[in-house]
Amino acid sequence: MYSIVRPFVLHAVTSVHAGSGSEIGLVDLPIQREKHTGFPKIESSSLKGAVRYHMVQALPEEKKELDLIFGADRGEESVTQASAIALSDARVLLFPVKSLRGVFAWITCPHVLERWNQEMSIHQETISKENAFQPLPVPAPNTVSSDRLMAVNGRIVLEEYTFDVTISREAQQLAEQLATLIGEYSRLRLPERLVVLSDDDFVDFVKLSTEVNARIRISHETGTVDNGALWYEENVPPETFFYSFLYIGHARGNGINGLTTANDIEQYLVKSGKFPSVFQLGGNSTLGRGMMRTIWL
Amino acid sequence: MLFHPKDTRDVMQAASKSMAHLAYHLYYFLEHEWNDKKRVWELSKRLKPVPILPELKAVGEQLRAQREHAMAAWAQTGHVKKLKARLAGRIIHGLGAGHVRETSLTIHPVYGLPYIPASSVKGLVRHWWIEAYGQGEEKSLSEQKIGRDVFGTQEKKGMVQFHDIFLIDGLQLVRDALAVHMKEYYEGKKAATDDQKPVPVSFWTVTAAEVEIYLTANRSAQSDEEAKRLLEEAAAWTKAALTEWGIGSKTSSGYGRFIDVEDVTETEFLPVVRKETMRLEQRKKEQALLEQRKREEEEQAKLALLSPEERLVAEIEQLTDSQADQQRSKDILYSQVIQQQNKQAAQALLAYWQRIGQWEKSASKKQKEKINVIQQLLNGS
Repeated sequence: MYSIVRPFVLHAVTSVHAGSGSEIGLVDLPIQREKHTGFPKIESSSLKGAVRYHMVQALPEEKKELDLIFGADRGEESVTQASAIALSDARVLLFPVKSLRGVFAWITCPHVLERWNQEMSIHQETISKENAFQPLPVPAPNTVSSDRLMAVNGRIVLEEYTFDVTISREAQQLAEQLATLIGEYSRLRLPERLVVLSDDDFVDFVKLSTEVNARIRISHETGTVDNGALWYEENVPPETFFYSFLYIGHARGNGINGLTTANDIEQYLVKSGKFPSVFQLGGNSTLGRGMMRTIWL
Repeated sequence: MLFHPKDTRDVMQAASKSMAHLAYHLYYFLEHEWNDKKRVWELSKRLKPVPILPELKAVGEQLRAQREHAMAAWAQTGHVKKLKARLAGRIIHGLGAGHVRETSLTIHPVYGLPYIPASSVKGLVRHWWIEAYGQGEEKSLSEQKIGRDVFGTQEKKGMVQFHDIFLIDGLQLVRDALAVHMKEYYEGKKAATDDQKPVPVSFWTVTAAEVEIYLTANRSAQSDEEAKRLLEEAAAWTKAALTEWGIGSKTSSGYGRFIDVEDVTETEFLPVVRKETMRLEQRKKEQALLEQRKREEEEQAKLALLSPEERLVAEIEQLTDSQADQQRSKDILYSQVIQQQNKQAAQALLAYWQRIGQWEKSASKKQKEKINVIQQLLNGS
């Protein structure tokens, strides 16, 4: 039973390859997607694994605490330990798309915003009072937060597609609220770049505007591309925002060193800052991929 | 003539001066001209000048700051090296990528800036290492421990992470051209004779001033000193590879060469990390203080709900061992207990004095009197 819920936003500082294996298609190594919507996602198991890996590397003296929190296999004492925390799949909130004016835009859609509101309200009672959840406004499709992206009056161009848009009060409110949540962590001026598209247009962009990179291997003998060494891999672009929930329960068993209740674990992970504020997730980590910034709500 | 949706074409023609993202200049909106002889639309050969708009520069600066901020956070739990380098001449990356003009340039899909992907950087340094230390044999990489550890193998991932290099500072796109002199020879149709027409091919190159190069390594539970050392080595190799070989396309003609590669970790990056650490500490303190205050307020609110008698008991029970609290117990609280003739409070006060050692015979005369009064109160009817 989890008694504390802490929602958080994940900001992709670099491209992320949370992969789903290989596929027979144009893209050899696709990213994880929700089956029913096609939106990019990060599986909770990928997320938890990445966070755990980072913490184990960074805090080698605290193996016991980490085993207690993340769970452990049969160890020396021949007992298994169930995890005291859980994470939910990270869902997409904002997705960056190049824009003819203003360099790039952050797109979202009513479905995404409504889902956020609904999920936040489910946990309303367990989210502490001072962090009481403010529902996000759900603007009508084809509205923007400012005229910064407008190429000509009332029109924006994302990739090569033109949309007729209007500036709406709700979109401005939404942009302001999101900017407050995200705070100093993104330097790229969210309030000016927000676009709310229809659900269908949003799906098209998140399906077709991810980064698809051709990768090659140069043969050492010839200095040209190795035979068969061309593959395509897909990444979620940097500046994508996801959100997820950290569920905290009491430690199973007796706990150790002042780590017994859910409050203790929240203190350890969140308040004392041991849950990493920047960590790596997914494939190609040696190419700097998958740097994620954690932003607690 | 532009081959794009009509509405987009109209917007583009009206707004061509405000396109900041470089992909729109290089990949989209390519002019076509009608070739009357062949009766087809042909891609225009001319490369129109591409402006670097202030908007793009601003994004570049924000990106630079954001990356530094993220790296400073990363440095709290890992190792980071930061190098700075100057571009010696021009650079071109991704010349051979798929493009209708057959000459391309790598542009970041979101930030709209030219950049050198980390995969290129790592590939270059790895190749350089094999030439320098591995006798040019690929297999030496897996045979030597240091090579295995830094770059990784199929079995184990490397310990050092390479990162994209963005070309932001002093960015300009410059037109360049090469001429194929013996086209038909290269096509395998003819001998290399002097009577073939040269075919000019134009392409884009980039000039930039200073670039920032990051290398990182995870903290290692088993061998942290080793991780630091490997990162140091990798930084030295990166420096050598970038200055000796250069990166990108056409390095044999002098493109993509760097000079003045300098390790600025100590001088520029660590101060930022320290500032970030202090900021985080400060914030933790503020939060702790805030919570402390909240707890106190909650206590106050709870006390406010109690009757005066109950409140007195609660107040005595919360006393700490501090001098101020000890003094308080002896005058204000003591007199209130007597005033209220509050037995429960007297009991609590007794327990407190016993805890702080003011119940024993060693107590002062004045204190003994008070103890007597309390005892009478407790024993009295």
